[in-house]
Amino acid sequence: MASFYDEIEIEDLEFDEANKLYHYPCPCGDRFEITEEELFDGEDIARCPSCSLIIRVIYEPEDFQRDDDGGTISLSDPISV
Amino acid sequence: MNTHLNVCDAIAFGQLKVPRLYLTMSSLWALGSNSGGQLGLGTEDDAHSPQPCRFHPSPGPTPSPHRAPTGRFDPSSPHANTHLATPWRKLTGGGNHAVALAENGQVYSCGSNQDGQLGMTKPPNMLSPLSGSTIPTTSTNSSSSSSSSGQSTIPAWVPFCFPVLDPPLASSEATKEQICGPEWAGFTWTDVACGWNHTLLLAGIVGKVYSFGHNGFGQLGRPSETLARETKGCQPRPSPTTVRPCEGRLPVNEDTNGNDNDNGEDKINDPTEVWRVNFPSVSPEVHIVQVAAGLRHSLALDSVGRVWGWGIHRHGQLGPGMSEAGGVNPTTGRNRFISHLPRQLQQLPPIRQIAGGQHHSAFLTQTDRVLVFGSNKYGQHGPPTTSSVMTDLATATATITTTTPAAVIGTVATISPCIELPHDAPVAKLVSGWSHLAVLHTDGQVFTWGRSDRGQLGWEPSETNNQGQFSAIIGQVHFPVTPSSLPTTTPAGVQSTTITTTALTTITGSEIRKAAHQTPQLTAIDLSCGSEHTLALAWDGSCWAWGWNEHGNCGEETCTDVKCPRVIRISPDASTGEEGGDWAKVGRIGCGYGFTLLAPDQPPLLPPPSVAT
Repeated sequence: MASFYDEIEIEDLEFDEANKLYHYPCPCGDRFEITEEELFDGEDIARCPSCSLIIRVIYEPEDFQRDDDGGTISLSDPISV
Repeated sequence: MNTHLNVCDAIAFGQLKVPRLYLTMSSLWALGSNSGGQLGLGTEDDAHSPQPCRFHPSPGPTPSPHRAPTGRFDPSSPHANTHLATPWRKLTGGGNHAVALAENGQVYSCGSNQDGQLGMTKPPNMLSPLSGSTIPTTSTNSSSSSSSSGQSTIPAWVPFCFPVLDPPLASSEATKEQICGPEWAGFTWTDVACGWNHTLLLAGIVGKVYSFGHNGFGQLGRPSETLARETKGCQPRPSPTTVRPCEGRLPVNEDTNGNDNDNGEDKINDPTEVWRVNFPSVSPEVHIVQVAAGLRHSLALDSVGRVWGWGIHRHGQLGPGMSEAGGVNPTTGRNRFISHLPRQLQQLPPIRQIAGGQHHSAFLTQTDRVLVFGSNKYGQHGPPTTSSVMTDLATATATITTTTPAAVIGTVATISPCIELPHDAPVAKLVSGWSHLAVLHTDGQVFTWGRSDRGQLGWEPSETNNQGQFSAIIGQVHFPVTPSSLPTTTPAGVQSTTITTTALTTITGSEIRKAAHQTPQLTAIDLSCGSEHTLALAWDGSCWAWGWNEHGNCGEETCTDVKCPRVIRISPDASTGEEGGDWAKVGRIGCGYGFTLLAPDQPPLLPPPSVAT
């Protein structure tokens, strides 16, 4: 397992409504990104497209449960700007 | 302020001889991460060694008498756009933007303007040729911000300037008091600080702070009631006809309560406007003397030693008693811990310097102690005790990563005890990276603590926490003198003495002096932190860098982390790839998050005609 640069709580991530993407600043200037879909799939690794660093996103799995219709419900939609 | 111009005049009249080196150099050099064009090199490629920055020609008159002594701009010359002949006072930057404060008070910036962090709706003279071609710009991708200009990236340095008010037109736009206020006597900026995507400027004469950029976490100090309006449609607007010649924004759009005035509707909707931060009316009156910024929070120090903070407080970075920090996430009902208005930080003794980190704030007291508010995940609070350090730190880490922030705030995790610095000399400067901190003492010794896993501390800690991420102690950085580290130009009037210093591993003031270390060592005169790297400027004009180096920001071409300080050289031959040759003393250093800015110690001079053509 690669070592994480950091572990960041979902509340610290910003949500990009248009791209359904959560992101957090990377020290290089780019952003760690993880899609909402990945969170629903149980993924927790957000990657920076510009460097080798990755972070683990801390979140409650129950906040990202698909409903019975196959749609998605996010209970922890943090900050949309 | 006019020293440089006098030097220029002296050169012009043949009264002063200057090494050729300085005739061919840019006044600003940059290296490191460049995905937002923040190096100002005219490209968006990373640079692994210092490269000369490019400047746009002055867009026109700036408020007199603070006109920048810009160089002549000749697009046909390969050298012309690297010659902005000005000495620099402060170099800094955020995630994707860089800001340089000139000694004359003028501010230059470059990089991403996606969130308005360059302070302009549209860069002045943006379409003027840079080396004969249009400046490449990157259009805004979809994200959060509503950049109104469509030119979100500016890979060359442009002057930040407030509009010159035309009095007859201005009278209909602003009140008489505002026009006649001290601001309009001309701005002399005295300090600048950058967060991830916001910028703070200090007009020191009037002690007022101006902010621009992203306000999603309240980091502009802009009242929350304007935020709802801010998000409901940020459309591109034509620049006001009363503003010219450049399209910076009027900083007069609010009253003392922080409410926008009658004609504020349009301005509030523009995310790129400049905002004047309103401090509470208290006695004595708040007169700001220093600004600092963390990732998403802002700090300001006033003339009587009080600290004011605003922005996000999720990790307790604004200190105890910040109960007003709030804002409810409409979806989850959870507290966002945001303070949109500046509030005085509590439980602080009189402070004389401030610094911001990723999730913490650091303060230097007037009695030379360091206090830290906020995250202690990487040992930012320093050694808590002299014994059982490892256990305590490991416990603290576990607590922070497994506890909800709400539970952490207001508890021991948010405020450090006074950090006992291991060296007795007075502190000259306190700086902070994202999760490591450094102090420069007046005798030139540098000490660091906090996160260490990528060489951030500049020394190898013998003890770290169980994941090897941070050191348990405060340690000293050494700058060994080697023949190759000395610049070719020796500073006049400086004795080439070396100072015997100490090898510090464990810590008391008396032990430092006892444990004499025989390696001759340079002493530092300045210090700067990026997100995960650190720079020091030594008295002999050599610049030392250490820490995370994935983007070449420490000048190590292999992009491996730099565990011990290494010299970064600025050389006029760098662009041609020549080895050897002259290299120049550095006079000013600064860091953005993943990049490094350097200025030669002597103001560069306009090239003679034979060079310019």
